Amino acid sequence: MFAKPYRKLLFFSLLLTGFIVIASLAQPFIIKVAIDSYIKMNDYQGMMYLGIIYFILIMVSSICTYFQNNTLQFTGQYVIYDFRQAVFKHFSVMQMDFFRKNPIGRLVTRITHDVEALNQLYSQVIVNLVKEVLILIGIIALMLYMSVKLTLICFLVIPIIAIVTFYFKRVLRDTQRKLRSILSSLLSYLAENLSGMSVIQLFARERKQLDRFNELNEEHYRAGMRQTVINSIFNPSIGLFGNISLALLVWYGGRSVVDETITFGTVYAFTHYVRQFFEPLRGLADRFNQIQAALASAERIFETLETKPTIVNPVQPKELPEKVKGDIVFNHVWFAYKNEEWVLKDVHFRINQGETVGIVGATGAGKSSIIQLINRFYDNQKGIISLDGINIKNVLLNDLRRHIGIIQQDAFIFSGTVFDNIRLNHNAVSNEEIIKAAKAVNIDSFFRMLPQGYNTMLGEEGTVLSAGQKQLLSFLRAMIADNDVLILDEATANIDTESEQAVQAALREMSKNRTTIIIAHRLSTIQQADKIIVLDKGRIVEMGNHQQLLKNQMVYYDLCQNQNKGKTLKI
Amino acid sequence: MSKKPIFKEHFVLHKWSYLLGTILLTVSLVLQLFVPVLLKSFTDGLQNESIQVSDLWELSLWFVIVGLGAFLFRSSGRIYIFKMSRILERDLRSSLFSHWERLQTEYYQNQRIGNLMAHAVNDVNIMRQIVMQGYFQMVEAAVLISISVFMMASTIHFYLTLLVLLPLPGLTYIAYRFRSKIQTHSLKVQEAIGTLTSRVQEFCSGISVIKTYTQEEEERKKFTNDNQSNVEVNKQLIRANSLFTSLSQGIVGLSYLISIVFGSILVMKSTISLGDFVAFNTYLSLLIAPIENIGKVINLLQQGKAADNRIREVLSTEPTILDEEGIVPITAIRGNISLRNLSFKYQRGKESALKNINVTIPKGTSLAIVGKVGSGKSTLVNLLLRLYNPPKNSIFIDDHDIRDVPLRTLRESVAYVPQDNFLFSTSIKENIAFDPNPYQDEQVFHAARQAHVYQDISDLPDKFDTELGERGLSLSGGQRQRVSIARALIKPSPIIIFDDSLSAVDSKTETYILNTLRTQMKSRTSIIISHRISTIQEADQIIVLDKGEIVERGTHQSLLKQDGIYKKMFTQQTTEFTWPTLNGRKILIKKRRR
Repeated sequence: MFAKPYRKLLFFSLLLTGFIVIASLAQPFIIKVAIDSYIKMNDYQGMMYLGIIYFILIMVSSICTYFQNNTLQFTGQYVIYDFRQAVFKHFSVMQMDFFRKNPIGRLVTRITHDVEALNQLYSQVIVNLVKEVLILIGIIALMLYMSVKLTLICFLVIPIIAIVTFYFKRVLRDTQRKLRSILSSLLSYLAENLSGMSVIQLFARERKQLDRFNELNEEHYRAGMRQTVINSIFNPSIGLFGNISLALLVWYGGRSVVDETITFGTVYAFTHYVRQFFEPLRGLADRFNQIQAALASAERIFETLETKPTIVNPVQPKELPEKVKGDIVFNHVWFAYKNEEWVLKDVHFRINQGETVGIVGATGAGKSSIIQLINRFYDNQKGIISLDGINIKNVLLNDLRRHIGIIQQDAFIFSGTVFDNIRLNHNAVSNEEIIKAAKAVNIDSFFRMLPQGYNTMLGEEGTVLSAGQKQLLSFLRAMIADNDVLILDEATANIDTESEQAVQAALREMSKNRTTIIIAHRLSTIQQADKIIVLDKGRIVEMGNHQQLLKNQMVYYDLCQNQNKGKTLKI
Repeated sequence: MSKKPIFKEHFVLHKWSYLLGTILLTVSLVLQLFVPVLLKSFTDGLQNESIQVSDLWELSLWFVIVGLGAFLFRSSGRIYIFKMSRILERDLRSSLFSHWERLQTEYYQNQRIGNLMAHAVNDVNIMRQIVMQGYFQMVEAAVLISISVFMMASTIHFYLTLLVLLPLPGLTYIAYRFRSKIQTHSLKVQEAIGTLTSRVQEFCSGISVIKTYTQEEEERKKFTNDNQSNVEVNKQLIRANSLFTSLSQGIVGLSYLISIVFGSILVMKSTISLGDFVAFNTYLSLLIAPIENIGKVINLLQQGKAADNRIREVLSTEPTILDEEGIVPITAIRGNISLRNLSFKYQRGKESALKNINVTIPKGTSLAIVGKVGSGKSTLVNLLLRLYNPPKNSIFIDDHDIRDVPLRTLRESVAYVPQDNFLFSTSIKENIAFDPNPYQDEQVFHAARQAHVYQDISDLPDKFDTELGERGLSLSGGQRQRVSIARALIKPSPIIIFDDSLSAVDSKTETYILNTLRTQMKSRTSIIISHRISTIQEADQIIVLDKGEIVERGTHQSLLKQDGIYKKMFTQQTTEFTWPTLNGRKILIKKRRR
C-alpha cells in the first residue's frame, strides 16, 4: 500500500532489469556464435560486427545497472521515509497509556529496524526476485534452445545443488542467530563491567569477572568456528558441483560433438551457463528468509498503525478562553488504569480560582493519578472533570494542556542546549527572560559555569545534570510557559538547601493569582495550603486546611505524627 | 607504544599454522588452475578429432578429481586460516578486558564507555577481517594471478595477455577508491540511523514533558528533518554503490571483449588453437574476482593499521595503581587508620583537593565527614580505597604506609558503599554476594535483612533470584541503594565506608538501618559521609571539610557549641521559613532534612 505512489518508478526499474538480464545472458551465447559461426568460417568482418554488438551490450548493461540500482533503492528509501513518518506521527497521537505499556526499545525498533526490513522487501526482494527468476528462466530457455539433451544432463546436478544450498542456508541461519546472540551478551557484559569497573576493583573481583568474560569469549569463539566450518564446507562445495557438471558436459557433450550432433560452441556456452545458474539459485535461498522477515516486520508495523489512540480530540470541540480562571472540579470521578481496579474512587472536590491546594497520601493513594487526569494523560471512566465549568473531554487536547503547567519530579532533559530545554516551543521567549528566570531560582551561576554557558548541549551526549538541577530546570520550564494552572508533582525533592529557598520564593511569586496544586510526601511543604486533600487508597478521606485536619485527629493527624516521629529519631 | 604491531606478533606466534594454511590454500588454487588446461586439451582434442570416447571418460574423471581435490584443500585451508582470525579475535578481546581491569578510576573518567567498546567491537573486528579477508584473499590473489598470468602469457599468447590485462588495474583502483568512499557514506548512514533512533528514544522517554508542554508538532518537525537527512545520506551511499557496480561491470566487460574479439582473430589466423582460446577465457574468468579483491584488501590493510594502533594504545596504557616495589606482604588488616599531613591534588585539578589532613581513626571507632559538594569528602575516601595514589607517608593503615599494603589485601579489608550504587545485571543474590568469597544463601538473606531490603526482595516474583538490569527488573533508587548496602555488609571486613549512602532511603528506613549498623560498627572501623546531620550525629568523631581543609572537628555536641559551619547546617536542616499566599495568610514550610 505504501509502494503505490512509486508504481511508475518500480515499473521503470523492472524494465531496466529486463535489459540487464538479457545482457548477462548474452555473453556465453556470443562466444558460442563466435566459435561456431565466425571462427570456423574465418569471417573477420562478422567477428567485428559481433564485437561491436558485444561492446554495445556491455555499455548498455553497465548504464542500466547504474540506473536500475539507483531507481530501485531510491524507491525503497522513499517508501521507508513514508513509513517512518506514518509510524512516528501515529506515536505522537497515542495516549500515555501506550507508552507505559510498550517498552521504549520496542517502539524504537518499530521505526528503525522493522521499517528497514520492509525496505528490503521493496528494494531488494521483489525486484531481485524478478531478476533472479528471469535469469533462471532465460538460462533454461537458452540451454533448451541450444540442446535439449545437454540441458537434461546438466539438470542432473542442479537439483543436488539446490538441495545442498537450502540445507546449508538453514543450518547457517541458526548458527548465525546463535553467534549474534552470544556476541550481544558478550558485549553487554563488557559494557556493564566497564561501567562498573571501580566496583569490581574495590571488591577485588577482577579474577572472577575475567573468568566469566573468558567463558563468554570462548563460547563466542566456538560459535564463530562453527560458522566458519560450515561456510568453509559450503562455499567451496559449489565449486565442486560446478566441476562435476563440467565433467558431465565434457563426457556427454564431447561424445555428441564427436557424433556431430552438437557443435563445440554449444558445449562451451553450456559450461558458462551452468556456472551462471548457481548465483541466482543462491540468491533465491536468501530471498525466502528476507521475505519472511519482512512480512513479520510489516505485520508488526501495521498492527502498530492500527491501534487507535484512545484519548482523542472531541469531534465538536469547545474553545477555552485565552486565559482560564482555573476553577477545577472533580465530580464523582472514578478511574482505573485497567479493568475495574479502581485507583480513584468517587473523588469529588472543587478547586477555586487562585487557590493553592495540597494533595497528600501514601504512595499509591492516587495522588499522581489526579494530575494525570487533569491534563488528560488518561481519561476517567466515570464522573466529570471540568476546567472553568467546561468538561475537559470537550476541549482540544492541546488547548487544554497549554493552560496547565506541570513540574515533574523526574524532569526529562532533551538533547539540545540549555536554552532549548527551558524554552521548548515558546519561541517568543527571549534569552534574557530565561536568564532572568534562572537567576530567580538560583541556577544562573551554574549554567554560566558550563563550557558554553546557556548554549551548552544537555542530554545523553552532552552535560548530564544532577537530579536537583533537573528539577530546577523543570521549574524554569513552567516559569517560562507561564500556564494558568500550576501543578507541582513532588517537584522539590532533590533540590539542595540553598536553592530551595530561592525556589520557594519563585513559587510564591508564581502561585499568586494562579490555581496551584502541590503534591508532596512531606507534609511540611503543604501545611499552609488553602485546602489539603487527603487521599487514602483512592478515596478522599479528609479535606480542609491544616488546623481543621489536625483537629479531626484522623488520617492526616496520623500522617503528621508519623513524620514527626521520623524527624526526632536519633541514631 | 613500544610494542610491535599486534598483527605481526600474532603472525609470528602462529607462523607454522599460517604456513600450513597457506600451503593448503595454494594447493587448492593450483588444482583449480588445472581446469583451463583440461578444457584446452578437451577442445583441441575435439578440433583435431584426435579424441576417443574412452578419452572422454578419463577427461571427465580428471575434472571430478581436480574438483574434489580443490574442494578438500580449499575447505581445510579456509578453516585453518579463518581459525587463526577467530583466535586473534578471542585473544585480543580477552587481553583488552584483562588490561582494562588493571586500569585505574582516573582512566575511566577520561573515557567514554562507548569509545572503549568501539575498541572491543570495531577495532577487533577489523583485525579479524585482516586475517579472514585480507590474508586469505591476498594469498589467493597472489597465487591465482601470478600463475594464471604466467600460463596465459607463456602457453597461449603474450601480447593478447597484455592487452586483456590492460583494463584490470583500473578495477583494482576503483575497488580501492570506492571502498573508502562507500565506507564514509556507510558511516554517515549509521550516524543518521543513530540520530533517528535517539530521536525516537528521546520522544518516548520524554513523552510526559512533550504532552504537558504540547510539543508534539515540534517533535514531528524534528523527526521529519532527521528522516529526510537519513534518506539523503542513504541515497549518497546507494549512488556510490551503483556507480561502483556499474563501473566494475564495464571494466570486466571490456576485458572480455578484448579477449573474445582479438582471441578469435588469433584463432582464425591460426596463431593460437581453439583450445587456447577457451582456456584463455577460463583463466580470465578466474582472475576477475582476485583482481577486484586486491583493491579491497589494500583498503582493509589501511584500516587495519589504524585499528592496530588504537588497540595497542589501550594495551600500552600503564596502570598507575599497582603494587609497587617494597610492599609489605601482609594479608590481614586490623583497622587502625591514620592520616598524617595528607595533601592531594588531582592531576588535572588546579587546586589541591585536600590540604594537610590529620585524623586518626582507631580500630572499631567511627568517623563522619560532612561538607559541601566539592569540599573533598569523596576524595578522601577515594584515597583510602586507593582509587588514586595518595602521596607516600600520608595514609597509614595499621602503621603501614597504604602504598606498601598489597592492593588486594587493602580492598579485601574494606567494605564500601559507593554513591552511585552500581548493580550488575545478574540476580539479586549474586549482586549481594559480589565479594569473591563464597557465601551461603543464609548469609545473603541476613545481609539483606540488615540493609532492610529483605522484604522488598521477597515481594519480587523470583525473590533473590530475580534478574536485574536491562533484560531484568529495575529496582527503585532506594532499593538499589539498600542492595548496595547489603553487598557491603555481607563482607566481614575490618573497615566499612559509606559514601553518602543513605540519601535515597526515607527517614524510617534510615533509622532502622542505622540501628542495625550500630551493632556491627562496634567491631569495625567505619567512615560515613553524609549530607544529613541525622545520619552522622552519633559518630565518635566528626570532621567538617571545606575546600579541602578540616575546618571543624569534634562530636555532635561539641560541634554544636562551636557555632560554625556544622551548627549552621544543623539549623538549616531543622528551621522553617514562611511565605504568604494570595489570601494573605502565611504558608509555613519546614525545610527538608538533607
